[in-house]
Amino acid sequence: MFENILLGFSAFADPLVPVGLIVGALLGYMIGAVPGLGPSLGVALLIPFTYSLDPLVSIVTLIALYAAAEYGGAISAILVNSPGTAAAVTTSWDGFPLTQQGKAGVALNISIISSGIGIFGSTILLFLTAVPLSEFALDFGPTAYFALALVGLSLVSTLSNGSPLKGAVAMGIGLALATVGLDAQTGIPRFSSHPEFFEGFPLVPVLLGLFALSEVLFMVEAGPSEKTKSQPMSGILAVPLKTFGKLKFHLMRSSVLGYVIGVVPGAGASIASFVSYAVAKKTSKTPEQFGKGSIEGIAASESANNAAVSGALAPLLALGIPGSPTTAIMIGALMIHGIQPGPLLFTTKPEIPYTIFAALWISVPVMIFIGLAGARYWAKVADVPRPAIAATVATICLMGAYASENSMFPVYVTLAFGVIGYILRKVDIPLAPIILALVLGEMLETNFRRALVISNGDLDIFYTSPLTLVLLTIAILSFAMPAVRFLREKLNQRRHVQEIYHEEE
Amino acid sequence: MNTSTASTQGTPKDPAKCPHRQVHSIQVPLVWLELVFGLVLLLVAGTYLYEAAKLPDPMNPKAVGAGDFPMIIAIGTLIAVFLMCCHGLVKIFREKEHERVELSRPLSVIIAVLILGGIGAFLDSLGAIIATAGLSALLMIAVGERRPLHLIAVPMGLALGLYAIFVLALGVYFP
Repeated sequence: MFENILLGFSAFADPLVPVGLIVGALLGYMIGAVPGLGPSLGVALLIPFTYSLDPLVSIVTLIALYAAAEYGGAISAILVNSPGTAAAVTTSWDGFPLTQQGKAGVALNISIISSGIGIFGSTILLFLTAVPLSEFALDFGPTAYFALALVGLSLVSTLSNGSPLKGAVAMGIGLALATVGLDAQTGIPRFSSHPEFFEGFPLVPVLLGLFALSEVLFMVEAGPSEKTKSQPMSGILAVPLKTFGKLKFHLMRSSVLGYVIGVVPGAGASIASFVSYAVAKKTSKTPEQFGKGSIEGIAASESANNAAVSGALAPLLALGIPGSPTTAIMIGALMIHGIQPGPLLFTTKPEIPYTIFAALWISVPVMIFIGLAGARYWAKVADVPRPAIAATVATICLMGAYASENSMFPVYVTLAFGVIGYILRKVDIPLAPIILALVLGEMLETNFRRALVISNGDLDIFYTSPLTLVLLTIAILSFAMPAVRFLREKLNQRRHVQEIYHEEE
Repeated sequence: MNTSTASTQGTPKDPAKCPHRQVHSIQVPLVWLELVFGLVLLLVAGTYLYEAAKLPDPMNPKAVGAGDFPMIIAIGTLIAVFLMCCHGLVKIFREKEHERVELSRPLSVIIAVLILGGIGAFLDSLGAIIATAGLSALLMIAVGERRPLHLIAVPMGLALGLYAIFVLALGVYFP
């Protein structure tokens, strides 16, 4: 195992790998600082630039961007009360009041260092859990994989923002898209009137369209941005170490919470920061300070949302199941380089997962330095005019789509999914389940069919293995959870009405 | 879940503060949008089910054929969409106030879609530099940029920058 860790760190002997890490970190900070551009969009936009790069350089760059975008989201949250990412909303609750009190530098320092601690601690947890999990998953059969994919999809559909019914519709759309192309077992073309569709929908152009081009249309709708007024920053380097000593329990607890929540498919960084913030407030000696400029609140929120980055990588690396839209996009990037994430990755290509661990650890000092040294410049990024951002995102989308296959077909796919993504977001249909279903669809179908071939068409195979049974139960409960919650709310309402009626009598 | 939908659909400019630029917006009840979208999706899922049913059966009668899994997906999606439509209908009849979706600057959005479609469709014949510069300039105008220096500098910078990165540094072929 330690040989493998050394293998991971040795990848940094290639000068392009550390360069990739720094470039990824810089771009991540920039993307995170701009409200509306999150890590998902950032990773999707960066993929076209990695086509011709070495796989290790590409992966390190993408991982650094993913982590740095979560760091960067806090900057605009603290300075202009406009969270760069959804996960930084809780940071703004205490960060911006501190800025109004003239302590913007302190808030930024706490957020950047807490983010670093969150990433560092959670990567240790990732290392300790992903490796044994991948060894355990080596014994999984087709039924277990089918059930695992179903659990991932069910949790994402029910836990993602908005109505669970819309999550289910989104999942259906994604699964239907995944069936387009030649059938892997029989070679029959399905829903493909044109040979371009025989290989199915190309993942990167679909991602660029759904996540990035739809965002461009939202920018057009929002119109030119008004100039934000950045607050003066002082004291960014004047936070004493003992402050972090006082925060150590919050930081440790939030890192663990963030990691655990990040592992659960569909939960992600924003839920991690909300839960961690609530727990920190409950356990704090000064809960009245929360919302008015509590450094405990900032530390809890930032360490948790960054720890969730490592958490989301655990199911991706160990099982090949993406737990968040960003990791689903990451699967697309890995596949472009011929890398199939999953339990076999640790034995066939150990340099990939161990370089990811090393990159996460090495990224901590790099990102803390970049964050502290360049805080005032990252804050200016939020001032870049919206028309320029829209033009940049749109051109990268189209050029990136063209470059993916050197043909016009991916460009048309990107354009179509850009408009579809815009309409879906207007109707409040979440995009995350579509992407996850598109990625997991083939795995789900292949393992379902393989299991039935093994059992000669007998469905008993799905409930004779305890592991499959447990996973299928979780999936069923997860699908049923919204209905149970709805019935419970109705019962509570009825009980409440009856109580009022009795009181009146 | 942290998606990129975070916040840009936020605040359209306040017309009171921008006397020169009137912000046009349409407000549509979300339930009506859901209903229209649901009906379109019912049609699409129905067609998908019909196409899946036409796929040939497997040689082995006990195996799952090419069309069986898509049929399961289609039926599941049809049920979910049908329930979504029913939920929308119940809300229309029960609730007096409906949540509204704001469609700001609809004309600009349509123009932006046409720009993207037009330049995208002719990307190979226009060439990378002209397409990038043209797309970014027109799109910036659609978003509302009117400063000439920005309209010249940003597209030029983008076209040359992307060309340098993709073609010269990464060796990607462009028309």
